[in-house]
Amino acid sequence: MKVLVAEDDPNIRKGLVEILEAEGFGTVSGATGGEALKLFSKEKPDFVCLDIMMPDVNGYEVCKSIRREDDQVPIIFISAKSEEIDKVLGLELGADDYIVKPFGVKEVVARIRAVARRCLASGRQREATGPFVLGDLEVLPAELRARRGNETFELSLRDVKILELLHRNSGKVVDRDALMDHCWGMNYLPSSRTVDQHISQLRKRIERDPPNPEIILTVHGVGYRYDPPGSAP
Amino acid sequence: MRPKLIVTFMLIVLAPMVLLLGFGYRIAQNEKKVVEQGFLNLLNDSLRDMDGSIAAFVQERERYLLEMQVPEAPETAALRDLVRKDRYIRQLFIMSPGGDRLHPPPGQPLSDAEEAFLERTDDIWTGKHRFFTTPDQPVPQDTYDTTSRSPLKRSQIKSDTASPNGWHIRYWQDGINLIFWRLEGTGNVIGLELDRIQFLSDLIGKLPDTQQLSKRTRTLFRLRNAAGEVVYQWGNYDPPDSAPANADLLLSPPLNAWQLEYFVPPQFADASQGGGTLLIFLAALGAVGLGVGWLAFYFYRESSREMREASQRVSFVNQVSHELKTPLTNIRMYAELLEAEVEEENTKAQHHISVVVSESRRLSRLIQNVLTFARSTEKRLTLNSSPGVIDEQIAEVIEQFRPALEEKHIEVCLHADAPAPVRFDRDLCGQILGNLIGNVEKYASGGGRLQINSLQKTKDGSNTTIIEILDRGPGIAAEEREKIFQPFYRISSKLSDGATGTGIGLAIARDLARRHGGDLVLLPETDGAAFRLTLETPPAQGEIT
Repeated sequence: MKVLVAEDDPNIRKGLVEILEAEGFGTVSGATGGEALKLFSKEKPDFVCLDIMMPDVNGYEVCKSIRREDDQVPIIFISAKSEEIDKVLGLELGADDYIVKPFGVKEVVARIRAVARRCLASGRQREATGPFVLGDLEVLPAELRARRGNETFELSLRDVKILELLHRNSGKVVDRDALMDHCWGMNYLPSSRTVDQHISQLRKRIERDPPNPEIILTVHGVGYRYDPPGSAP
Repeated sequence: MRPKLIVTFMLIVLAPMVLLLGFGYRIAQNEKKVVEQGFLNLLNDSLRDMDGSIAAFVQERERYLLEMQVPEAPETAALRDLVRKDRYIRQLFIMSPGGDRLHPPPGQPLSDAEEAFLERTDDIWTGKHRFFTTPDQPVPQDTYDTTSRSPLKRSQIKSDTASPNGWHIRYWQDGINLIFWRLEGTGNVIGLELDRIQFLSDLIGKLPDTQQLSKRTRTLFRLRNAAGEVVYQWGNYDPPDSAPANADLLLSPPLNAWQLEYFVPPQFADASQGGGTLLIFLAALGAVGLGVGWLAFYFYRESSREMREASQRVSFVNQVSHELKTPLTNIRMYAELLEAEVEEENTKAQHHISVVVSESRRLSRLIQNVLTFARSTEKRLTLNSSPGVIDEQIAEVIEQFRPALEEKHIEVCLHADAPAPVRFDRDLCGQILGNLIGNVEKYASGGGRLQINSLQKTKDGSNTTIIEILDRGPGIAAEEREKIFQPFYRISSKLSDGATGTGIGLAIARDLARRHGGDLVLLPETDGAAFRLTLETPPAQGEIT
């Protein structure tokens, strides 16, 4: 999935890009309203994060222009304007959500995942696949969630991609390179350490006993593997 | 500018100008007429002078004719001799009191000239014209008393006055015929016909010679006879054939069928017609227009000042939102990203990061407070005092700014003498100090030094804490000393260009200081800027936490 970020402050823009890419989204970004409009036409992103106070064209105008072209693509406003009236205006213009600065990373991630779910559910995404099972974990890609019994775990897009890849290669080793290509994309050059760290974090969330994983198994020096139950280790 | 205002502005400026233009035009027209009239009067005066000269000549001729010795009627030979010798006279007649012709002699052969003369004067001989010979005869129109120049009335004739005389004028084929008549003591009337050619020649001789006029005065006089023919003209200007005369005048009697004409070149005529006035007038109009325009613009600016200030306030709030929340967003976002990257085992780093995050949240709250305050004048920040030590607060604020100060090579010198525990609003105090130190970092970094002094005083039972913040920057010019405390005001100088900010730091700082029972003033200082913050800080006995 590709996200367009329009924000004039370079630090906020880069921070948001980092957060989004950590989630597993591809990103394109612009510093002005004008750039955002050009990128929207050129890149056809899956959803849009818009700042409001930007030089040249402001976020409201960008939202209006985007809506004229595409009334479905989700738009999130991220703005310092926090008055009730600002939020109402943003939503009236057709935005799906309105995040007020300063925001916490977790807050932004939660909102973005909510929007991504909507994108996946709408059937626009190639990546949306049907649910699958890894051991006793039911993975629901369209919902960016996994379930074990009564427990529900929030998943990032990347998490979903990793689990999908392991599931598709059940019983086979998936090396780090494959993981990097499939789950991080070409614009992002992670190190092996990044991959390992991410897997570690994922395990902490979905494994019953993270130090002794049952779903994501380490294959030392090579990569990772998922063994369906009943198969020989 | 809104369209309505533009229209009003135009009206204010244009309406008086149009009125002035209208008036001015009328005045200019009147003046033109006045000048034209004056010019005409000038020409007419010249003509009258000329007419006067001609009349003088005619009178001279009259005297001559009046004094002329004319033989008695029977002396035909002597009379003919007189006619022949006198060059002024062409012919003469003598009429008896009864109206009979005595000369040229009746019943005698007459010369051709005399015959022709009789033909010319047949109106006299056929009784059509009489010279008051009988009382009951009306006096003919062309008989003039030469003294009064008015038609003679019978009642005017007195036998004991100077002998009546006059002119008898007729127009014959070859032009004017002038006959001077006089009544003799004998009752005879003598009529002396002037030799016209000699008369004209003598008349012309009396008129100015063309050569006498200077090159500068380009004019032309023209003398026309009754038939409209030009008798004579003099001057050094040659008007076009069809050009009418600029002025004309009928001569005085007896030549009152003749007229004098005066010609001047067109540019001379026009130039006298007030071009200069128009120029002056246009200049005055321009000046008035400028004056009114400036006035209107000035009033517009003044009246719209309030509107501008109100809209400044609104845009200020938006600007503040953006300015303050942007760095805050970054701090919080990157602190949280950092939190996720640092291993959990690194508790020290985790703690540091958590401080940053919590402080950034606190700052958010404060900012929201300020913005709410800015938006409505009714809501007030309430003083939230708690016990504490001022010096510790100062140290905290310095610590917050340490990275920035180090980066800009600003040395911090703290002379802290406010160690007593007192009640004060930490956030408020922190905010004031933050504004002041922030200003030093932004505008006075060139000086390389930040000096902070604190001390506490007790006076009349009230506890005051004084904090001074001094720098070695460019200082503040005399004319700006009070303005810097005004909201939105920023000293525009090269140094501050490029620094972000909304110009409210000092305004808020002073306002907050006053809420805290104190004040914020700029000390007169020659080397950089020095601010003194006073806060009312009641003692907090034994409440330190």
